[in-house]
This record gives sequence, C-alpha cells and structure tokens, in this order.
Amino acid sequence: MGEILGCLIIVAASLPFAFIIHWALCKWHQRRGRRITQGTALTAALLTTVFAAAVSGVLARHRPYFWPSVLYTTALSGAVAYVYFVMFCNTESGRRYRVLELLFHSPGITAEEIHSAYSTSYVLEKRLERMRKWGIIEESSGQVRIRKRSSVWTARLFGLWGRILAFPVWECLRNHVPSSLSHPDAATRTAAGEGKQTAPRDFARAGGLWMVCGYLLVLAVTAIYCYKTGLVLILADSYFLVDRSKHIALQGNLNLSPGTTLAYPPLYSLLLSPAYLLSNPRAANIVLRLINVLIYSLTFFPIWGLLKSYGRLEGRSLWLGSVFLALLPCTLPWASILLTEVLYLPLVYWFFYGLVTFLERPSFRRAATLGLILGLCHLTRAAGGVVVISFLAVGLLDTIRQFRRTRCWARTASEYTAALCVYGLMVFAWRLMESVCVVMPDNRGYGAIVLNAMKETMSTGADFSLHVHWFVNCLLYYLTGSLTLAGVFVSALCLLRPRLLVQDPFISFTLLCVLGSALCIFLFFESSLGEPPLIWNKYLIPYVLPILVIALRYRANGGGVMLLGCIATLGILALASLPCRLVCFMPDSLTAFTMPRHCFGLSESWRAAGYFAAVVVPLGLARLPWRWGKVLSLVSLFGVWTFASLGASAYWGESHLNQRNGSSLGKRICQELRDRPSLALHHEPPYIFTGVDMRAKIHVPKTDIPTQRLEQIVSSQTPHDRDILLLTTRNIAAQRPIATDWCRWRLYRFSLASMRRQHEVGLGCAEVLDGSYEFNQRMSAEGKPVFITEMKPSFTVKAYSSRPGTQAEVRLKVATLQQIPKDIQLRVNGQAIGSPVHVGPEHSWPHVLTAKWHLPLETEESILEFTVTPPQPISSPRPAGVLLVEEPEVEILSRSSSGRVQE
Amino acid sequence: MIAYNHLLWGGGLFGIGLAIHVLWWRLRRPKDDISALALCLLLLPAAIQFTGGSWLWYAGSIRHLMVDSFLILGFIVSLAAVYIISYPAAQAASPTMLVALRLAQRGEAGMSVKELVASLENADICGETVPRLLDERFACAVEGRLFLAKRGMQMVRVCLAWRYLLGLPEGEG
Repeated sequence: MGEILGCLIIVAASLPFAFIIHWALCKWHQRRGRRITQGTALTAALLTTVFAAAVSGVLARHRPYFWPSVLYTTALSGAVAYVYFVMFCNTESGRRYRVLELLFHSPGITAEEIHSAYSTSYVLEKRLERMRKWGIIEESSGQVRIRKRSSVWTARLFGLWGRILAFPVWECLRNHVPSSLSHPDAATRTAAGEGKQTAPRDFARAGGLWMVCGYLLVLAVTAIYCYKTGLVLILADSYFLVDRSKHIALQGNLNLSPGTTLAYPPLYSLLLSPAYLLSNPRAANIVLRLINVLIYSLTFFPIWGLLKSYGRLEGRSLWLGSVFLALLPCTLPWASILLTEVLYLPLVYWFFYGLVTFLERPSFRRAATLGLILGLCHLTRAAGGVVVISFLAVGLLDTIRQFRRTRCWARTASEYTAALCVYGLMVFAWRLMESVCVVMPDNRGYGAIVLNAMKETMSTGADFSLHVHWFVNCLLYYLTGSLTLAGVFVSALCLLRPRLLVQDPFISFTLLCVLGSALCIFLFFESSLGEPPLIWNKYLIPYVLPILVIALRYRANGGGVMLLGCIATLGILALASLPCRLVCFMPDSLTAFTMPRHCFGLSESWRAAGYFAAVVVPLGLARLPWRWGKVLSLVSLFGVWTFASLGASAYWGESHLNQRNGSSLGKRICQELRDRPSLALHHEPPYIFTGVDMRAKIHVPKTDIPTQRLEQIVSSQTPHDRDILLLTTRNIAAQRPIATDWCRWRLYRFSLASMRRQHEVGLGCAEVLDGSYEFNQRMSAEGKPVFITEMKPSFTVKAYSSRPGTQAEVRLKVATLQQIPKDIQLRVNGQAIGSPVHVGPEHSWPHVLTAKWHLPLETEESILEFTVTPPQPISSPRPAGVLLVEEPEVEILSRSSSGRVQE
Repeated sequence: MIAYNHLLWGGGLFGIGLAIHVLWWRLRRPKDDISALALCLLLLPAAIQFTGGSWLWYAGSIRHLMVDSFLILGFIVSLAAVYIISYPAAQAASPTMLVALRLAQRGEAGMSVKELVASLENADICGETVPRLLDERFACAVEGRLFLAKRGMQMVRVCLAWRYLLGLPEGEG
C-alpha cells in the first residue's frame, strides 16, 4: 500500500505545486517588467509533470513495480498539470470564460450586447496579434501567411476530431471556402479530377454511419458468439502461439520456450500478447477473446468495400450483404479459436479488396499497400505463401495481357514488382531478425515442416497416392464447397466462359488461391496425418468470401449457368466417387452437408435436407416477382445463418478442445487423478494441454531427465499462478511432472476438494506470485529441487455444547506428497491428548489420511487446538515435501445434545 | 501494487466510454455536452468497473479489489479530465485554429487580414458560445436578459481569485 499512498500524495500535491511554480514564474516576469503569457503556465505544467515523475521514480527505485508506478503517477500528475494549463489558457483567452466574465461584471445584458462587446473583429484582431507575437504567422506586403506548421497540424487534429463528432463549425470550414479564397491550384486540381466528390456530402455521411452501424452489429454478434462458445484451443498450435505471446509480454522478446517444437510466424502472437500483461487469469481469458473479436470483426470493412466495388451492391443490399457475409457460418467460429486464421481472414479479405482497387486504378502506392498486406499475411500464416504465388501468377498474366493489348507492359510489370519488393523486404527483415535475435531451442520452424513433408511425400509411392487422393478430394471440395451453390456457380461459370479468367484477374486470382491451397495439402502435409478423408478444410475458408462475391458480381448471368454447373459438378463427383469426403473437424464451408451433423439431434439426412432446402428456397423466393419474396428470403437466410451459427457454437462449446471444458489434461487427467491417482501420476500425453487460465501447455518428452522436466514446468510459470501449488518433485524416481498451472489448480481442487483453505507456500507466496523467474533462477542456482511446502501448523476450533460431557468426533485430514514422516499432535485446551499420529512414507500423495479422535467436551465452550509438526526445512539435505492440512471438522456425536461447532 | 494492468484496463474502459460518446454524438448530439460527457467518460466506466470489472478483477480479496478499482478509476478520471477540458476546442473551434487552417488552405499565397475576417463568419467565432453556455447551465436567460447561473458564478469567482493570486489582470480574449 505504501507506493499507492505515495502516488496519491504526489498526484494530490501536483496542483498546489503547479500553482506555486506558476506564481513564482509570474512574479519573476513581473519584476523584470516582462509580459506574462501562457508560456509560463505551460512551463509550470511541464515542471510539475517532470517533478512528479522524478519523485515517484525515487520512491519506487529498486522495486519490481518501478515502471508501472512511475507511469501511473506521471500520467495522473500530467493530467492535473494539463488541466491547470488549459484552464489558465481559458481564463486568458477563452471565449466562454470571456462571456462569463462579461456576465459577472454586467449581469442582465442581452446576447446582442455580448456580441457587440465581443465581436468577431475584436476576437480576430486579438488572436492575430498574439499569433504574430508567437511567430505562428507572418505578414508581408499586406498578405498574412503561416510560418509555424505545428499549429496547423494541431488545428487539423482537432478538426478531424470535430468532424468525427459531426460539429458543424468544422464542416463549414471544410465545405464553404469562398471561391475567391480557394487554393490557387484548385482549378488545376479539379481539371485533373482530384478531390472530386462523387456523392453529396450528406449521403456520404449517412453511408458512413450505416457502415459504422453494420460494423457494430457484427462486433456485437461476434462478441456474443465468443462469450457463449468460450475459447477453443486447437492442438499444440495454440500453445506455440501463446508461448511466444507470453515471451513478448513478460520478457519483451520473440523467443520460444524449450520444447515448443514448431515456430509459427509472429504477428498473431504479437497481437495476443497484451492479454498476458494481466495477472488475473479470468481477465486474461476475457481479453484474449476480446482481441479475437476485435480482429475478426475487422473483416466487415473489406467485405463492405468488396461488395461495393466488385460486387456492385449499394444501399440496403450492400449493408445486409456485408453483415451476412461477415457472419458467415463457416468463418464466424474462428472468432473463438486461438489460431492464426482469426487474423489471416481479415488480412486476406483486405488483400482481395486492395487487389480490386489496384486492378481498377493501378498505382505504385496501391501496389506498395498490396505488398504490405502480403507481408502481413505471410507474417501471420505460412499459408500466406499461397496468396503470394497466386499474386505473382496474376501479375504475370496481367503483364502479358497488357503487352498484347497496349504494349504498355513495363509500368504494369514494375507495379507488381514494387508490391513483391515490399513483401520481400518485410519477410526478409523478419527472417533476419528471427535468425539473429530470436532464440528458439529445439524447434523445427515451419520451413522445416514443409521440407520434411515434401521429402516424405515424394519418397514413397504409397504416400504419393495418398497425397494425390487428398489433392483431388480437396480441390473438388474447394470448388464446390463454398456454401454449396456459390462454389458450383463460379466453377461452372469458369468452365462455360473460360475467357473470364483472362478478362477478370480477380477470378483467376481466387481460383489460383484455391488450387494452391489444394496443392499445399498435397505437398506439405505429412502422411502420418493418416486417412484419405482429410480434415484440413480450413485452408479453404479465406476463399469462401471471394467466391461468393464473384457469384454476386455475375448474378445476372444466373440460372442456366447454375443448372449446367450443378449437373456437371454432380457428374464429376459421381464419376470420381469422391463425394467430398472431408471430415469436417474445423469450421466448414460446406455447411449444407456437414454442419447439421453437429446440431440438435435430428437424423443426418433430415438435417441435411432441411438445411439445403433452407439455403435454396430463399434464393428461389428472392427471384420471384412477389412483393414479400425478398423479405421472406431474408428471414429464411437469417434463420439458416442463426441455425448454423448456433450449431457451431454448440459444437465448439461442447468440444473437449474448449478451454472452458478443460482441455486434454485439464479434464481428463483431473478425472483420472480422482479415480486412479497412481495412474495419473504416470500419465504423460505427448502434449500436455492446458487452457488459457493456466496459459501453458507443456511438452515434456519422456527422454528428458526429471530435472529438465521440472525446469520446463517452472519456466512456464507466469504471474497468473496465484492459486496454484506445484505438486511435483523429481525425487520420486518414477514420477513425472504431471501438469502445470491450471491443471495443478484443478488437481488441487478436485483431488483435494475439501481442502480449500488459504495455504501458505513454503517458498514464499510473494515469490510465486510475482517472481516466477526468480523462482526458476533460485532453483537453478541451488542445483536442487525446491519444494513448495504448505504448512499451517496449528488450527483452533471452538466447540459449543449445551450439555457438558457430550462426545465430539474430531477429524483431521492430511495429505502428503511423498515419503516424509510427519507427526500430528492433537492438543485440546493446550493439553496434549494421546500420542502423535504418524504419517509415514507409506502415505504417498495424494493419499489423504484422516486422523480421528473422540473427545468429551468438558465445558460449554471447549477450545480444541491441533498442532502439526512442521516438515523438514527447505535447506535440509533431506527432501522436503508437500503437506496439505485441512481445517479440522468437529462433529458432536451425542444426538441428545444441541451442540454446535464453530470455528 | 500498481501494475500495467491498471493502466491497460483503465484505458480500455475509457476507450469504451469514448466509443459510446462518438456514437451518441453522431446519432444525436446532447444539449448539455459536459454532463453527457461526464456520463459517458466517468460514470459509465465506473459502473462497468464496479459490476463486470469487479467480477474480472476479483482474486479472493475485497480489499485488493477495492484498491485495484480505485487505481483504475483514478486513471480513468485523469483521462476523462484531459478529454473534457480539451473538448471545447473541438466543439467550438478556437479562432486561432480557424485562422491557422484558413491560412494553410491558401498556402504560400497567403491572404489579407480583410479577406481573413470576411472568410470567418460570425457563427464560426462566437455564434455558438452563448447558446452552449445556456444549455450547459453556466448562464440563464430571464426575459431575454442573461445572468450567470450558479455553476458559472462559481467558476468565474474561482478563476478571478486565481488570477488575483497570480497578480494578473483580466484576460484579453
């Protein structure tokens, strides 16, 4: 509390301090006959802030909370000083204060009198005089010019904020420049088409407001979905990402812990890292979900842009289309999953939107932006390489097309080259940084995975056929699976009008991405993943939207193409005998066939039929020349979307991967610990999953010697480990570290469910709470295990009975981790009763011993005191251990009594 | 113990208040700006902190929770104070800013003082000042005549005393 009190005193002292400094400065200026300006107040404010920072720094020096404390105090004192400064400026030259002062001296004057006393010319004259004195403006040959640009930037900043808040004064300034006062170059600019407004201002603003409303709706739905579903962790990938986030937040580097066998690109981890600055697990969990929601909801804006520019929608259709597509049932579930797809989706959408604008109006600036987004894609997912290669191919196609048409191919080629250069620079910079600054012991890196998988794929014929199987399966799935109808439509369109592939680079780019993703699966996945029905449909997800947008753009070409496409695709599928046999473990784009599997207990065929009908019927209704057709189609579409999203939410909500349910280790091992503790102690899955509450999954190879395993566990300690005891030791020969963090918490709660009292840990609570790394260092320095030892040596219980002589049964539960003899001595009213109960080596953890005594209660109020002999101190060469002692229970045995027990 | 969490969480709550403020102003600007700002930027974050925030921050001790909440609210109050004191500059554009922007629009060519005065309409400079003071209850009107309200009277007295202590004359506007 000391530092908080100190901080408050500094903040409280800021105002008088600022005043005293200001007063002193004023007097000093007055003695020298100088004019007092607002500069004196600014100086006083700055000095106050610096002084507050310095004092708080001195008070908090050598403390772990040095920086937070200094920042906090400086922020608060700075705010006080700023308010002081602005208030002084207001009393010096503020219009509102000036009017109030007029009213104070001359109450009862009218508004007109105020205006005449405080006219525009008066105000401007005073302001111009001051601006001249401060050197903001200069006057020569009757013309006033700006000299200091900083005041213009400040004004622009306020103007921007004023326009965001829709204050009319800024709009006036922007729109009503008298013609005589317009910029000299304005005529030239207008002739060149620059700055030309295509829509009236009111309409544009209304459109912007609707866009903001749509975004807020998407944000709200996504937030509700995430809140309802919970955070899902997929395989070890989530852990690898989170491990880097923890390093960023807690150590300020991009390293990975030992045992994280894969290294993923860093961008998503970077965005998640603020959550790990929080020490409260629940808060961290919520912030993680919030980050995911915010990232995912950003998909709305590129979708809006794509539908407007490429999809040619406007008005209500644009708004509804953007909202529906942002909440696609196949993409929405990613908002609650802790994987890079969450960030990759908006980035790819932005890239598609950027590509459309670039193709419409090519320029080097747009090309550089595209390169930047490409780089961000690749720094998010290795799969971003597919987009890069597709972009390169489209660039080549476009250049060739330009060459054949206009022979002006050099500029086109250089624009694409510029984009690729920006991308290359970003990726090269990261690679360089990764190789020089990032420590990643024992990991393979995603490049290594790719090479290993390719080698494995090409080496044996059997594997090769499996991979071909995957490729065909995925490609067909991709081309037909994008919400069923759109995929079929676009595939058929391209088959029937192949010229479109050249005329519209957007289509060729999308299809190249699809093909590249199928090739990814063919080439880069290891055969050990197994069976022909492959689960990695998630590679399709980013291209569902572009396929739908293409379908919307060419919607007028509709019916015939659709029918032919359906027949052709179904024929191909039948011939290939591969009716899309992907096992949709991930959120699925082929929702009509797969998503209903997870929903509401109906038989699969009925669900599929119902779902399919619900997708087809609305589209049919929308085509009918019936007044309510569109309304009905919207309602039906809304129903389908809700149905699918609820199904996805239910599926992921119940999934064992959901952190809320306890992931592999959380739930399963805790159950095992309860049922068969000895088995659980030796349980060691390849990856030990934990949820986000514990923020770590620890990979503990069996080949590691126990010390290393323990170190790995300790190295994963974070400030989140508040309520956790480390129930493990290397001293039991066959014992392996069983878990960490949240798992241990669960272990503690479930295995020793009744023992929830406050336990003090032998290592020192503060060290566990705040000094996880210190804990680690200490363990390493001593070269021997440090055991967290709980010990609460004595308890006092008061037992009341209305009838003296009543018998009470006293039970005391003790759990011991290992072979450490402990004695439990019972004392009643200070007198030792009986001999100590011995808890010997045979009672290995988590065996719970119940010591039981029958005692007469001699008086109405008996004080029962229990003393437990402390275990060996940590410094002893003999191993110490964990002893968990539960608060004793006392039960009055005599039924005739009206005894009660109270602590 | 003061931690980055307090700054982050306080900043987040202030951000929520700010987002609501923007949305509110875009949809329908309130009459009494200052009270509405206080509602958005002070009361709303405080309410969130003492309801949902408490649930998030509670780690087994009411005392710690109260201390955490106090620190967070302190940070929010400081941010809100900075914003509210700066708000009038955006709401009723300062003449200095308007002059700077007008001159910047003309670039190197500049403009004469006459043109400058003509370009800044009366409404831009102090047209909104009196209605806003009435809306915000700094002043009140009785039969077309204006008087200081309680809030305005207090403010003027404090400021006059302050300037008197500093030994300064009245401001020049």
